[in-house]
Amino acid sequence: MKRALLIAACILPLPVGFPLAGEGGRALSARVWAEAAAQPTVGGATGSRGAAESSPAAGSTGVPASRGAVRITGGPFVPPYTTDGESVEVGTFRLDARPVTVEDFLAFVRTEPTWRRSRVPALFADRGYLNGWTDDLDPGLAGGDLRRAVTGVSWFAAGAYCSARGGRLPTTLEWEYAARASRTEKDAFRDPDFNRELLRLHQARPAPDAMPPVGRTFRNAWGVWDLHGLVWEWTGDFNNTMLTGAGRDDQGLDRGLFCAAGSVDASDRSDYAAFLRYAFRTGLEGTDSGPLLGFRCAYDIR
Amino acid sequence: MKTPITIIVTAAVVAMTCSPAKNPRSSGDEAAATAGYADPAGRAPAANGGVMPAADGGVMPSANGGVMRAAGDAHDHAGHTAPPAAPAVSERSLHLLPATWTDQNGDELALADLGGRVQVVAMVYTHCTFACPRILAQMKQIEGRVDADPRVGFVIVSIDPERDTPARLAEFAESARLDPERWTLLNGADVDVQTLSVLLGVKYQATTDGEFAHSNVLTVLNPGGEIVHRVEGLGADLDPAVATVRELAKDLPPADHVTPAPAAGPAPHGH
Repeated sequence: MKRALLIAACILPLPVGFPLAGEGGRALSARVWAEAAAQPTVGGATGSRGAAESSPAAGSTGVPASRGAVRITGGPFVPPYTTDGESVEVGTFRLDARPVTVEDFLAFVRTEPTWRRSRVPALFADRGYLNGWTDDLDPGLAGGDLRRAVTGVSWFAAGAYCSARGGRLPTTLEWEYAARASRTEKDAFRDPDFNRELLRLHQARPAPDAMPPVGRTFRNAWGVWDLHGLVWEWTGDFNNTMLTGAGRDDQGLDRGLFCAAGSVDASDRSDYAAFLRYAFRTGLEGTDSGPLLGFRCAYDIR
Repeated sequence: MKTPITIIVTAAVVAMTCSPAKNPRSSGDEAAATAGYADPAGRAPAANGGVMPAADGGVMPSANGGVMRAAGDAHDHAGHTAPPAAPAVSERSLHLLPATWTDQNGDELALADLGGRVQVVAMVYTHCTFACPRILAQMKQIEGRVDADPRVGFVIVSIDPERDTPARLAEFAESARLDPERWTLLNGADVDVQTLSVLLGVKYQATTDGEFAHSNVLTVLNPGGEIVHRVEGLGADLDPAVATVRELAKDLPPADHVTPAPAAGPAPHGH
């Protein structure tokens, strides 16, 4: 049964009860974070979950370092949230196979002192920046695994990291396109088993203090790990994922007045994980440096 | 005497390595310019415009968040007598953004070049049929209510840089009768527009028919480039914004002595 969500894409003014943008969105994302932080620790159990399906055994010594990008061949894509149900064309790009790790980010701040915890300007990061690091160059893991996903990094810092590596943050479209793949299918949108697993993975996200190394959830059909079930990830245009109506429902609404309001169709509840991601992004601000929020980089094909 | 020479050398070293943001943008070298540092390797533009603070760090976030630091005081100069610092750049100042923009005259500038004045900033596009004229009207109202005080500037940054070329912006400014003494219209790279939109909290998205859906926000920057006020929505009451603008402007030197603040970085000293 179709469930239509009316989502006004403006930030302000907002209709009463509007759930997603602005303050409402931040409240939602805060709640999502709190929920996630309250999840039981996944810890070492991820090895068994991930390893059963993935090719290399994900033992502690076998966890691959976070480097290496894979090619994501472009194609048509109907995004999880769209008002007209129309397909868009995603271009071919490359995407990091794993989220950026603490080890990666440490190497970055060694060479880019302006992004160290004690130096980053408030314009570019909030007080949660690299929270848990005991010093500019000490991630404070006390022997813990440096190959876990780096968190507590703002959008500005994430973008600077990717830029330093000759890349950029993926667009939301690119990220969602890559994330639609199961282990075996590049577009597993209609696979009910996969959609159920996505929800389960979302609910089993590890707590911030028990992050496993990257490369433990599952490796999808593109060869990309951890798009689900690990950390939330920045996208380059996170603040532009407004849901606009370019058609039927805004006849009476001046499209130029605000952002257009549109009716968004979530065609089935299996979209819930995607709904949470979109809602989460809407509530984000560029300086947010939360303990469950990381990133990976994309690269243009040259 | 050794000391003055030390000062000059120090200043020169600091000036070279903590280069201000406004590197001339040569074609194809945009990445180096936006990276802020003199980076011979030239980095690829990033999703956020290759954001790097225009001057090296040395910023200690303070409990009250409002740390002022000398823009040129970025390196350890133990034992040197540092030159008098250029006007300090707050860690919250948008002048830290190294991006280079082109204005309606075709001149290149960084946001730091707009310092020294109160600035009212909007992100719109010229082909916008309804909301943007309203935003422009709000800006003009503010302009009128401060009696076109030359210490108050107005900045329009296009979210449609492909169509809003500098020439188009000049056309628009003329037809809208925007006094070039106070109005700056900017064209920038997509990534820089994106980054600025994140800093200002403006959301925008191209719709399938070539229009843009966008939020409607005016931002007031103080002469140091910090966000001090926001006006949200087309029907907002402008009184608080006008009061803020007046309050900030009155502390500035008299109108005929206003010059833009130098970009982040030490001023050269002519010893």
